[in-house]
Amino acid sequence: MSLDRIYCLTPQAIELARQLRLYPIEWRCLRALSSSSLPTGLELAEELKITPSGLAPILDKLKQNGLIHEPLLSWAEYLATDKTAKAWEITPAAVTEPSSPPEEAKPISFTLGREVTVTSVPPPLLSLTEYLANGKTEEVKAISPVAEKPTPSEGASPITFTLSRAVPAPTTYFAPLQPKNPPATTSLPLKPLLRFVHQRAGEGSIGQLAVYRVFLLIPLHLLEKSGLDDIDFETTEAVIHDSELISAFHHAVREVVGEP
Amino acid sequence: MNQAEMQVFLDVSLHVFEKMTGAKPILHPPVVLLGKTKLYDYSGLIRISGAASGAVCLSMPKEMIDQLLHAQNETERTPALAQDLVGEAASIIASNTRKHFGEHFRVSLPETVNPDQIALLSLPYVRFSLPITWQNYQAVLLLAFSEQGLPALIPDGGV
Repeated sequence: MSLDRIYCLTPQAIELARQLRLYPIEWRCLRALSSSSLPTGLELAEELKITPSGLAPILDKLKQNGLIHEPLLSWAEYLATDKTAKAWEITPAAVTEPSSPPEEAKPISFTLGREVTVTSVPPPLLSLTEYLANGKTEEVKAISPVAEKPTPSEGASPITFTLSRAVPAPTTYFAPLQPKNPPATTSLPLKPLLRFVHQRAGEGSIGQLAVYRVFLLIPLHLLEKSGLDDIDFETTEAVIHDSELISAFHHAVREVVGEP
Repeated sequence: MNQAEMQVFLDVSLHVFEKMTGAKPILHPPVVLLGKTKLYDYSGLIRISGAASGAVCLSMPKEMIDQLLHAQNETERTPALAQDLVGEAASIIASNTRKHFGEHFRVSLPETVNPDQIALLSLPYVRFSLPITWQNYQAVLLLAFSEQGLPALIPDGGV
C-alpha cells in the first residue's frame, strides 16, 4: 500500500464499521480519514503520530475490510487537496469532460445501537460502540454525536452520528493524481520501528534477530555517518533524521518482515 | 544469513553455556553494537564463511571462569586454563553448528581471545550482543555477521 496516495472512507464504510471490531488505533485512523481534508498516508501517519511503516498495515487492513479506498476525484476536489497545484499544471487533455463543482458536503447520519456493557478493561479489539464508550472526550467529539438522548447506562439506546463531510462519490473525470509535493518524513524514532519488526517476526529471540538483520541490511556508510550509538532494543530513544537512512530502514524492514 | 539461521548459532551457543554452567542462563534484552566491540576477559570465537560471513563469540569475565573451574574441581587458576575453558566451549559450538549446516556454512576451528588481543579483533561493524547472567556473573554472547559477505574478519587493529 503506497503511503503517498490519498485515502478516504468508502461509501459503505459507516455501515461496515458497525459490524467490525477494530483496535483503537484503527478507529483513530478511520476518524482521521473522515475529516474534511483528504490526507495522504504520510500525512495521516504524521497526524496519528505513528511511523509510516506502522500505519501501512492499518491502512491495508481497513482497505481489505472495505472501509477505505483511494478515491477518484473531481478537478475541484483535487485542487482542494493539493495546495501547490495550479490549473496550468494539468493539460486540458487530461480532463475528458468539463468538471462540475463538487457537491456541497452533506452530513451523513447513521444510528448505532448499544450492544455491549462496557467493561473496565477494554478488549484489544473494539467495536465502534465500544471505542466511543471507551475513548477520550476528544475522540467522541471528533465524530460529532448529535441528538443523543440521556439514557440509563443499561439497555440498548440509539446513538446518532454526523460525519463532518460527505464521502466523495467516485467520478471519471481523470485518473487519480498524486500531490505534487508529498511531505517527506523527516524523523524516525527507532523504538516503535524495532518493536514493529519484533512483533511481525515473532516473539523471543527470532524477533530480536530479525531486528538485528534489519541493521545488517542498512548500508554501512549510512550507519557510520549517522552517529548512532549502540541500540538497546528496549530503551533506545534514538531518532533518525537522515532521509536516506530512514529510507534504508524502511527498505530493510520490508526485506526482513515483508511488505507491511 | 536469515534470522532462522542466526537462531541456530544462538541456540547452540546457549545450550553449550547451559551445559558448562549446569543452569539455564538468564538472558537480558540484546543490544545492537555499532562500532566498538565490548568483550570480557576471555572469549571463545568461531568464524563463519560460505553463504554468509561472520563470527560467534562467547565472552566471560575472569571471575566467572574461576567459578566454573572451581565447579570442575580444578584448583589451579591460570590464563592458560581460562583459555582452555572458553576454547572448549567454542569448539563444541563449532562442532554442533557444523553438524547442523553441513556445507552451507564453513565454520572455522575455534579460537580464543584474551584481553590483550581484543583490540586486534576485527569484527563486522554491526553486532548482536546478548547479555547473559549466571549466578552473579555477567557474560555475553556475540553474533557478528556481515550481510554483504565481505571478508571483514581479518585482524587489522580494527573495532
